[in-house]
Amino acid sequence: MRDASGALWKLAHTKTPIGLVIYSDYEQRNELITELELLAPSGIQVLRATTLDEARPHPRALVLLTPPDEGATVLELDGRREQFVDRQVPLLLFLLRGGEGLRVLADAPGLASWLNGSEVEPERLQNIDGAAEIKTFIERTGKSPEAWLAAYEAGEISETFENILLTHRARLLGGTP
Amino acid sequence: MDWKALAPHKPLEGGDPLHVPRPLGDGRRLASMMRAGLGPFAVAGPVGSGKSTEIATATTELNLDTELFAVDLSLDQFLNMREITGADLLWAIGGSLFEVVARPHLQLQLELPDEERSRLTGKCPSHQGHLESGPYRDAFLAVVREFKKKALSKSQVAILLDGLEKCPEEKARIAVRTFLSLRDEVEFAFVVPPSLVIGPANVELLSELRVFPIRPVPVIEKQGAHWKEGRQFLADIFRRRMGKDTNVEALAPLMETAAISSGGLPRTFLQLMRDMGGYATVANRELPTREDLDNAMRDQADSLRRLLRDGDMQVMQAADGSDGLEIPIERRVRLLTHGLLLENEVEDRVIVRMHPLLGPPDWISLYA
Repeated sequence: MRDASGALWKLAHTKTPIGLVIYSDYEQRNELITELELLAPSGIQVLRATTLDEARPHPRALVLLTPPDEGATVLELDGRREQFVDRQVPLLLFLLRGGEGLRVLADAPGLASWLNGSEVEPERLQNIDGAAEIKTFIERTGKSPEAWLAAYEAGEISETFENILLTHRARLLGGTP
Repeated sequence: MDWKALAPHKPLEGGDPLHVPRPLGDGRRLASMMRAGLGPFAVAGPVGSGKSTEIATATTELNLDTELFAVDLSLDQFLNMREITGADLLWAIGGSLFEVVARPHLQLQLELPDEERSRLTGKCPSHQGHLESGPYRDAFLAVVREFKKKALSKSQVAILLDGLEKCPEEKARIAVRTFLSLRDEVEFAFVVPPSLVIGPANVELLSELRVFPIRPVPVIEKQGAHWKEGRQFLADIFRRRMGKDTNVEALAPLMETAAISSGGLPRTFLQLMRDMGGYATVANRELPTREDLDNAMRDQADSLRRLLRDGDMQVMQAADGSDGLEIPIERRVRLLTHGLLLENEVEDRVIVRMHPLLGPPDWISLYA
């Protein structure tokens, strides 16, 4: 399952020290922050930060880093990344698609290499073939997205992380929340 | 399975039980060349090729020598490599050496003039507004000379440095010049950005040092004769990091594909295996499937494609299998640094190949 929620879940739960979330506008960034707060591993503090110095003392928190100057922060992080190597929970850096941060990242090979495979661009992953995805969803769960959501709302579906992801997927596929 | 144990971003320290020797034993080879006084060495290679681990391995090897004392430093652990100065570097290596020799296994108390001692044990020079490197150079040399005097059996000091590859090119060049000026006192090896060792602009610098390349390990026949050892090396890293209870046999075909897809870069291989495991976990599966690996490969390919600029693919396709010298220097350096273009030595000739994950989907099977 390579969808946005699955990829975000994997990112938040993998013991990679730094991950990257690529957003397309500020509204989407806020939505992603909210979603990541929900997907965070249980018992893990979620911290919103705007600078690396704010993030550094919290190696056991899921840090959602939204710097005002993305380009400068990428350069700073590239120069200081060894200081974050022992993080137990990732620091997730938010960069704007087509923005300065991503442009600068192409000139920061060390950091870019760390991030390989730990980058999520939800909008791209959500560009899906709806009909095919609904068919796959039904094959997997035995329910349509609407029926799944209705069962979820009625408390008939247990709160495992897989079911939470499926619920989110059902919403993306047009089931009524 | 604890996929987090793979820790692709984490270089190993010297003597780490998780360390697996590379097929051509690069760390050991570097150590023996340093022992023979053939340096200074500029260690260069694409990101994730294992430079830091091999530097640590070389240090451990050198310390087996009774006449040599070696220390390796990851400069970026305490300096912002984007903003370093010559004074900062000398403070960092001098201060670290001063601290290391006082540790219990050596217990050497170096007698330094108060001024020099306080320089090395004080704050980072640039944080104090100290930009002159001269005083820090004197303090560094005082430590080295005092050490050689006190540690009678250890007549040589070797310093192996990691982190300069994160500097802007000009700052890395200044740093290398600083080290070259100290080579009569210390054996040096330092990791540098590829931009410092490729091209005519570096001829003068290259005449004063020796380049030690850390390349991807070969994983297909076209990458070199030791491709089977290369795949075995990657499989051994996986086995060692995951622990002996892991059912490696069940994962063998996936590991093989991940090894080929990594282009022989250990970090990429570990990232693929970890991400494959991540997808299996999301789907609540203990053992990953080929679909999980395909997803991990797509993630990696997306990351690599994001680094491409106009014309890169065309240039790489044209250069595939050649020495790559036709690629304009700036583009070649960028492609090699990012590991988008991979260099291997095949029958005494260096050839370049595009990273397999950038090829069309059927490329991986063609490679296999």
